[in-house]
Amino acid sequence: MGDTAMENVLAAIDASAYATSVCGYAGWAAKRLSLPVELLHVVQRQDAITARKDLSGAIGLGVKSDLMEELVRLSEEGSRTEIEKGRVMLKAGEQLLRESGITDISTLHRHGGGGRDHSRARRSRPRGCHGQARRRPRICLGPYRLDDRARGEVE
Amino acid sequence: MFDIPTLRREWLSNPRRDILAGIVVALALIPEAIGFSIIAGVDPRVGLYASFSIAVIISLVGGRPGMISAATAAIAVLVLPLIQQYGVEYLFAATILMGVIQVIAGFLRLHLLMQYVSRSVITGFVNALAILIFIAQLPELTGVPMLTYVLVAAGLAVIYILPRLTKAIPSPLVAIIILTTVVYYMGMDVRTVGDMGELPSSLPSWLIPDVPFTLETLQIILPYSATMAAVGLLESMLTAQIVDDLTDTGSDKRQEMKGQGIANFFTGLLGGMGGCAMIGQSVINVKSGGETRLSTFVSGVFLLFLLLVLGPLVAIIPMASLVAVMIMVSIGTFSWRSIKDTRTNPWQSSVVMIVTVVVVVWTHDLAQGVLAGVILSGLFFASKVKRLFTVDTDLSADGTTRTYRIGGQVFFASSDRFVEAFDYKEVLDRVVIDVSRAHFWDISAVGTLDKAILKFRREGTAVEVRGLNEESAGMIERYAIHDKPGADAQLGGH
Repeated sequence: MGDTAMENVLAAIDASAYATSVCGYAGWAAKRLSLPVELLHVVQRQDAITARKDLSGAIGLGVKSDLMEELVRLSEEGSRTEIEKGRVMLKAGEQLLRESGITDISTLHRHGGGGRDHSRARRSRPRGCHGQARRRPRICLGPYRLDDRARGEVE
Repeated sequence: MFDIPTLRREWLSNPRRDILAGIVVALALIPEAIGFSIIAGVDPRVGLYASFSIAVIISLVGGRPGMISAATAAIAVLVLPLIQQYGVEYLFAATILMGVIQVIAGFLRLHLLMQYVSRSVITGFVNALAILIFIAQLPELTGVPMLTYVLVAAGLAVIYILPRLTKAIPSPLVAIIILTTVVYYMGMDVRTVGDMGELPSSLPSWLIPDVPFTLETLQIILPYSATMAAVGLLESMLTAQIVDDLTDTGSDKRQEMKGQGIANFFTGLLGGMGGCAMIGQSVINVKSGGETRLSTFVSGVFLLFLLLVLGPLVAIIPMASLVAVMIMVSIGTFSWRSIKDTRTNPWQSSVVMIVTVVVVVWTHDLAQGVLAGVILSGLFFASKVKRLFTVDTDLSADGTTRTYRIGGQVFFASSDRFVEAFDYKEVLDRVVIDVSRAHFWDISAVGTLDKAILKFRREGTAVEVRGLNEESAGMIERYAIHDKPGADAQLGGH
């Protein structure tokens, strides 16, 4: 990496107990380095397939479209609550950082999908949250329990 | 591919659900394996070994976790003439060669050809497959005692009514158990699995097919192997797409093609018939909560376990109960929506769908149906695009020069319209053909332009063509793919 000037501090938060300390450290690092903070939360969708309790093994008329609709409906509801939770988390994190005197804060709310992606093609494609941003070096803090998409960001 | 996080995600992300789903699927594999061994005219053992071996191998080397592959209807209906004429050893040889062809197809990235298979053709394929599965049940339903119909109806009733009461146990299994118990203890005289041929009593063993290794053998099996490979890959690619959509995850289609090949290659060596992915059983798997390699693996292993441990019990299962399960698979595979959609879809797509179905049912060969469907949809597409063609014309003030402005797509299908656009009998000194807004796609189009120019010249009219820069026309064609996003990835590979 030629240009090592850091552009921001990335704080990745989730619902775990670490989120508060991540924000604390991010605030500390940002102050020492005079860098803006970027707060990231990745929405992890619940797995609708394993959430279903159906071992009947019977398939009937229009099973493919019915199953598709049911799976979409199941994850749709879950995702909405997850998004709301994520918003609250990001807001709380932002609040924490503001209290520690950081003013330059940006938030990033991304979908991490269902958690499983088996295509090699998709994995090899570069994943930037916003274009060129991913090439910029930065300090990353947070529980590294993110899916590939977000991992492409922090590794 | 073999890093620890990937292995964990693809095998152990939800072992309990995957194991349960695998067991449910195994029960739905038995009827198909037995049923289609009989269709192909071989012992049930051949299909059952194949289902075990394909499911286990594909779970290790496939590219679409959670998809179920085993001995299938699509392949079984193809091989009957081969077995009748030359015997079962040739089937094993053909299966091995089928695997080799599929691996080669994987290296050649032939899955990209799926882009040219339209939605209507896919719907036709799925419907035709469902019909083939149903037709395959007819021998068990014709010329049999009335009792058989009663048993099949009772089986279907259990399969579809039980899930309304409880979804904790697989209703096809319950149907099989109830019917078997009733038939056995009441001593009903109906056909059972044991009547159909030998069941496996030991683990499959490796064997080299007992065929002469000559060019003549190759000539016999190659046409079968090629068709089996094509049909197997078509159904596998299609099923992979369905599983991709249902699970909202991607898959590695190229790996899946090679995996199918590897699975068939070794299955042939184990004395099994060829197979491919199964739409119905894959849907059952996802519906039961299975979505990793583990569920596919369990389905294969549990199938073999059932046979080896419960072999004598499997022999007393009445065929009628398996027919009921296969009718369920057929109903679940058929796209009932497509019938409703024929009223709203453009008539061309309905025609493509129906032609695909008819050709498959006629020839019992899914590959031929798809080929017919693809050709027909290509023709319909050409006839639609040829309408994207406009001509407007004006005469100069002195009445000696006429300008034709051609716009739109000029290619083989629209070249007649192009020639007819001109009035060759009008007396003029000069004709200007302005093609700057037209695109010449092929040599037919260029040839037609030449023809029009010659016709004018024969009448003594001077012709000027404007806007046709052959370089630029060629450039557009060459660069036409590149200006779209993601084109690099498609062309250049990974």
